[in-house]
Amino acid sequence: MAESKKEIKTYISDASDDMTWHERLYVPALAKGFGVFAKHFFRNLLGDKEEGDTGTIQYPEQKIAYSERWRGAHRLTKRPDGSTKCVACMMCSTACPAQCIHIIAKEVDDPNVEKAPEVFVIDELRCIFCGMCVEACPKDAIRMDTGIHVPAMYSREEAVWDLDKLISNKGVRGNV
Amino acid sequence: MTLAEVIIRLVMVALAIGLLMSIAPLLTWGERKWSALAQDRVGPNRAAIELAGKSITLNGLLYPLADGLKMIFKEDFMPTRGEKFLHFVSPWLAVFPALAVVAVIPLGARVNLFGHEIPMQVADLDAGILYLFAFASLSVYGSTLAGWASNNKYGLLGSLRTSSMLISYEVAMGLTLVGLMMTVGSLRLSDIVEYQQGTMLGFLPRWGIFMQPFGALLFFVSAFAETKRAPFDLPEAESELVAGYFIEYSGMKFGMFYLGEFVEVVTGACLFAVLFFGGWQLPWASSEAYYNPLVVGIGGFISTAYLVFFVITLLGLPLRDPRIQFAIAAGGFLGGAGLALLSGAEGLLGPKGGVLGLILSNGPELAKLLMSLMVFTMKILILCWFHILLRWTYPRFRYDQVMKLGWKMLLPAALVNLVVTGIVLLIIR
Ligand code: SF4
Ligand code: SF4
Repeated sequence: MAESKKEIKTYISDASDDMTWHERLYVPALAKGFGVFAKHFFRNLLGDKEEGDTGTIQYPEQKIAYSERWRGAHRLTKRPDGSTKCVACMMCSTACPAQCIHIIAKEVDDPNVEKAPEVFVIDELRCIFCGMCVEACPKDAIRMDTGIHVPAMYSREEAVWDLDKLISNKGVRGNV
Repeated sequence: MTLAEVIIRLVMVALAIGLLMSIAPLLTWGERKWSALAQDRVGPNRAAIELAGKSITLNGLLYPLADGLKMIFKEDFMPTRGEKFLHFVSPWLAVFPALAVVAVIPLGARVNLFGHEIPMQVADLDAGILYLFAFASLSVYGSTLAGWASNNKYGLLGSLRTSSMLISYEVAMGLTLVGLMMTVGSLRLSDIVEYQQGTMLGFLPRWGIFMQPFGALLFFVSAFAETKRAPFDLPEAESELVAGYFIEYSGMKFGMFYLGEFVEVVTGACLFAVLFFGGWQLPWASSEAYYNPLVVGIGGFISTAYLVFFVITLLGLPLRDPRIQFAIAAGGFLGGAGLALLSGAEGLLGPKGGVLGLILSNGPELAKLLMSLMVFTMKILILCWFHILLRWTYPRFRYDQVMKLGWKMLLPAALVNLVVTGIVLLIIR
């Protein structure tokens, strides 16, 4: 019985019901708010803060260093003889959630290698830079350590990078 | 009216409009920079002019220029089913009343130069305050018609809000000033400024804000509401009405609404300075003090130093640099010494002939003129700064709260102020 009598209160208008008269005057609170604001103003105007201390990076002039693990555009690593390390095992294209790696394998005479990519393309526009391909590769043949932001392009075709392009990309911490 | 008088009036018009039109665009940029300072940001600093291989940004001072250029070259959009004529005139209707208000504002002390009596205001109307109210009410038309003429629901809602809000606050604004009118006994703005000289109760400057502290607060709130800026920006509340009454405006027409808002801030500051901060009067001193070289020197020092300080903060130069501090002090010293010299030279040197003598004999009046102009500008700048910082501190009201504040709080409070003022005046006199 006591339950059903429970009063239902609707707050449409103000929450001022449970405010003290002091709070209801608003003026002290307004003055306090302005005080905080003015304090920041004068601290920034007169204090010994440099512009950089606002936490703003003045981008084109200043750049922050990326972390070691930052994932940029892809590259394919090379053997000492200059051929790609990739053995066309398709692990990366299988792992790729965006399905943007396309590989056609070919046979190689070298018995230690057996297979190599005939075609190896990555559509950098479809790529979501998740790094799964790098994780999946058993040969350390694909890396994302180029430090390159995929640039803007005029056509979709330009974004499809082929074997030569991927091999020619350089790693920021040395070329393997 | 003689020719000289006509020329003096025209110069005054140019001066008043010039003052307004130089401060208002500066404020558009000052607002962005000051709010950035208070919010720990950097603020706009990219607009630059390439000169001899160096890009000059002047701490973002070029933004008003860049904005103006951008607005002029933007497409001037006109809604097809809107009311063409009204759509065209309403930006002008919004800016014009705000500009017209300065006509009655005394920008400086009345002086007697080269044999001519020069009032530093365009028109010294008997009913100055009534003129102010008349033009303040006219400014409603600009924004109301703008929303209505653009055939847009958001615009219409915005203009409805404008008209109801501005009319509500005008009532309160008018009533809060009645107390001041009763104290001073005149509607003429130059009389009101004259009245605010010297001291009261022995230690306070006899300024409106001390004679009518409550009235000043109420007037400030309602004048704030009249500028339609946050926390009273209901007519353009972008989270509710997209852009409110100027939603269908682009290019320079939008620019005029934007500029008009800042012009209103400046005229609001002018009004508040004239009514409650003694206009061009120095605190504690009588207006005769402007003839005292010592007072003029000290006042000149303070106001020039302030103006130099203001320019330096505008340019974003580091104030803790000793050279900058020296520049402020030196500027103040030069200004003060120059004014004091101008004011007192004839007394020291005795009368002289020629052009020099002419300047010297008018020296005290010239010094008074310059000094009072500077004092007034300083007050306006400080008030504008205060206004802009307030605008960035407080969140927007809800619409019913605005109405409640206007009708249920400001109006009764203004009436109480009126009654109390009346009783106190009866007792004193
Ligand atoms: S980074 Fe991710 S999305 Fe891009 S190619 Fe590798 S696996 Fe595919
Ligand atoms: S890059 Fe690595 S994972 Fe992908 S096909 Fe080549 S060897 Fe296999």
